[in-house]
Amino acid sequence: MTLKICLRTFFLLILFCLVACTSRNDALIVYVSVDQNYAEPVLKKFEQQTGIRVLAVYDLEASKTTGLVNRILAEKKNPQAAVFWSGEFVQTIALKQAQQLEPYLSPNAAEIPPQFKDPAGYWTGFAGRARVFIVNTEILEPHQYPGSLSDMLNGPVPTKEIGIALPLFGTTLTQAAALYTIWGAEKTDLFFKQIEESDIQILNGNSSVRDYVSQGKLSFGLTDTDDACSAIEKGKPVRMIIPDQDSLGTLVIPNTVALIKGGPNPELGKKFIDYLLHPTTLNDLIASGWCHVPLRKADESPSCMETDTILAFKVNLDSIYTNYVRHRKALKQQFLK
Amino acid sequence: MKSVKRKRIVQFIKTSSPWLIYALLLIVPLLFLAVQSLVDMSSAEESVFQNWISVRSMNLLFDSILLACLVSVFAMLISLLFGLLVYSRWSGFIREMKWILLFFAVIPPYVQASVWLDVFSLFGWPTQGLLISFWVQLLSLLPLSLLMVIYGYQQVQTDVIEAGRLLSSDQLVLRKIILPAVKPFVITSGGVLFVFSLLDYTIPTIFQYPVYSLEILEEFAATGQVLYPFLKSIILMLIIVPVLVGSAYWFINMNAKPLQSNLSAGVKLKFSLLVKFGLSLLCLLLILVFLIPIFDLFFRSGSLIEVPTALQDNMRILIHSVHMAFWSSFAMIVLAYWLLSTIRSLNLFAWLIILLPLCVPQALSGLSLSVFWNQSFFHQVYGSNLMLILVNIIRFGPIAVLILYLFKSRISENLVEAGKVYQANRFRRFRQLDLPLHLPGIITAFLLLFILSLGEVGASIAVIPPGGETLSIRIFNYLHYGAGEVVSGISLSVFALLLLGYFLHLLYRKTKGTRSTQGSSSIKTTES
Repeated sequence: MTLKICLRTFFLLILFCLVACTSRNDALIVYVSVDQNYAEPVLKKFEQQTGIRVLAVYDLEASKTTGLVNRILAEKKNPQAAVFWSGEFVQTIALKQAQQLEPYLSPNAAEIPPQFKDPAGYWTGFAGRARVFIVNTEILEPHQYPGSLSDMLNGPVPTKEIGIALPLFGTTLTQAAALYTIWGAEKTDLFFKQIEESDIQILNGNSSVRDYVSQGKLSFGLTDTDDACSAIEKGKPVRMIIPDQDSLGTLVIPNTVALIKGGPNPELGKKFIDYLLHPTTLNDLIASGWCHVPLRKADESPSCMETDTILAFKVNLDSIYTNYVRHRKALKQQFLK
Repeated sequence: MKSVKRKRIVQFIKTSSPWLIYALLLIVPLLFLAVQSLVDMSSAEESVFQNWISVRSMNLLFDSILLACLVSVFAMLISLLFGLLVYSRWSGFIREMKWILLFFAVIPPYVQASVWLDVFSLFGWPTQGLLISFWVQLLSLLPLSLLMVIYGYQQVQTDVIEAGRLLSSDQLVLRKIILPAVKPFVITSGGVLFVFSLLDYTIPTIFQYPVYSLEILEEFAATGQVLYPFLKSIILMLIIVPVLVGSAYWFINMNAKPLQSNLSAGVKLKFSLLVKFGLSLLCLLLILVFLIPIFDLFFRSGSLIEVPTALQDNMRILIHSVHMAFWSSFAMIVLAYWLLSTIRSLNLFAWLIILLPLCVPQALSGLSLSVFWNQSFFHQVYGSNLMLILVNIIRFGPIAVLILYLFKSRISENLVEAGKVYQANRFRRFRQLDLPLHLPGIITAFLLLFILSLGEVGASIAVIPPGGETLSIRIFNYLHYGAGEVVSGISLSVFALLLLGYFLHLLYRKTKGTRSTQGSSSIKTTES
């Protein structure tokens, strides 16, 4: 009887180990901070085409890209993932600065403009989100639509009807850093000081801005192309306006893909990067509804966007990163008090 | 002399081992995080207390407390009234509804969130803010409160009620005997729900209702340092610790009578027309509340034909989630049982240590595990599915101890001592005496822990292993993207499995010929 109990216990322990201790030796591990509903089909297709098992960790709306990057940094001594596919570039450059990336120049990156890739190959951008206004067409008349960032403070729409995401992480913080690069510190400090002191609604994220504008709680807000597109495709009474197209343009934030230093199975990671940078993958993503501006010639373009061409900030992305690091603490103190 | 000393050492090791393991799994990661925060504090360049207590934080804290108070008060009220419905044995249907409601407790809260988002949207009610956050959080936590209060009603013995009914009306018996006896259970359930609500940020986040506990995660996301979220957590814990530990200690030692092993089947009470009307309305409301999500899911997904497809698409993740929840609950039960086998009773300090992990915000729990287990000598653990199990243990392990302790306290010491005398073989004694005596507590604890583990997201976020996404995390993530079809599919498969499970349960009861509300134990105590 004791033997039976021991055998049953042993069997349970084996079963436990089979469940809990899954082998990942032959798998490609990818950390993804792109929306899971778009990224997951790409990973599945890669799995099917290559037979390489892919295990992914996605970021969450609550913690965004920064949360995943902090995880990569925390895993410095024991990297878990081979590839980092990010929805933006600042955090990727941060990883490069922290010497967490391995250079890899993919042959499929040749057509991508130099502005959107690292010269040494530490990261490569392949499609971008633009910072745009999302406007509720039932509240605002066309002549009231904002055309420039300055319309947020000096336009015809009351500030309490305008929304922006908290500029502490994500693309809103990246845009803040870009403004510091383009406008300079004085003008940008004043801009955010005025935003903070006004009635402009500071919300948790770009999706909150999208939802509030879609529901008519706000007249317009600052968000990304993908958030604006998702509302347009759902038939919400909204429209996308690309700011400053007759002057400096807007920030285009490229998706980036990079090889993580010391990560398991780097050869598999390189295969995945080649796959991701292939034009077919980009076309598939856009066809699936991914509202990103292609940085290279593509057969598809997002259906929700009214124009194929966007005037983007002419600025070095590394400079944006420098300002990102320089000014984020001050912004945090300003907006978290 | 040497053998006596050796025996003492062996005894000490036997007694302290479960406590050491409990500490390693639940307390040490939190202490590690605290120490790391202190180290960060000493090397911080600026004053770290500058934004510690800010106007924004205090507003968030107030909003969080408001939500928690609403959830706990309404849950207490509904549980009190529904428990009375069940106890007063109105009809077999009401008693069956108890099982339906408890069964549907297995639904992850994020499935609830997705269906009620639809329902609110359909009626033009606000789909963001306090109201919907309160409603969904109430529904997700209500089964926990119902469990506690219904159990409390079952503690009121029939003979005491019958004696009271000889001398007074049923209304007076209700007011003077039944309700005072149930009060400790109701208030404790309120305290527990207040804490759970205050610690949860996942449901309010879905509905854009900013809460204080989200700040903790955002602090880490924004800074990458553990110091800031740790400091933020202290304020929350200053509120939670007295509420939770006070509730538990008060319930166990001060106001509760010794728990009965004979659970009462209830008494057919006579109520006034007004009371009957009110209770009927409640019953109808609860039926609607649990039927609406089912109709919404089937309506949204199209037809019953979608169910097999939904199941097929989500089977891997369903199995994975159930596996994690099962093994987490199993591990927690084993640890709690082992812990409690080494002691007879616990003082306030011991309770404080045991319940402390329950007072820690979800995000901080996850962070502490991520920081502690991401050391080079633990690298086989970090990044594996074990992390999900560890997360559930740190979040809900104290509940396992609490429930097993409550059930253990009603077991007669004389029986246990007799067993030791007449059955020297430990394994046989465990199998023939200890296990049957503890089985009701083990089953109750296992089911509750399983439900809680299945719905865990807040702490798991920090430690999800690659490819280890659970059902709740997936739904939580997709809800933010607004990917309704995917969420519908997953929710539908969960409901389908639940319905299947419920029908199997009905079949089992019919076959065994036992009635669900007859919780009478075969073991009667000889103590008064």
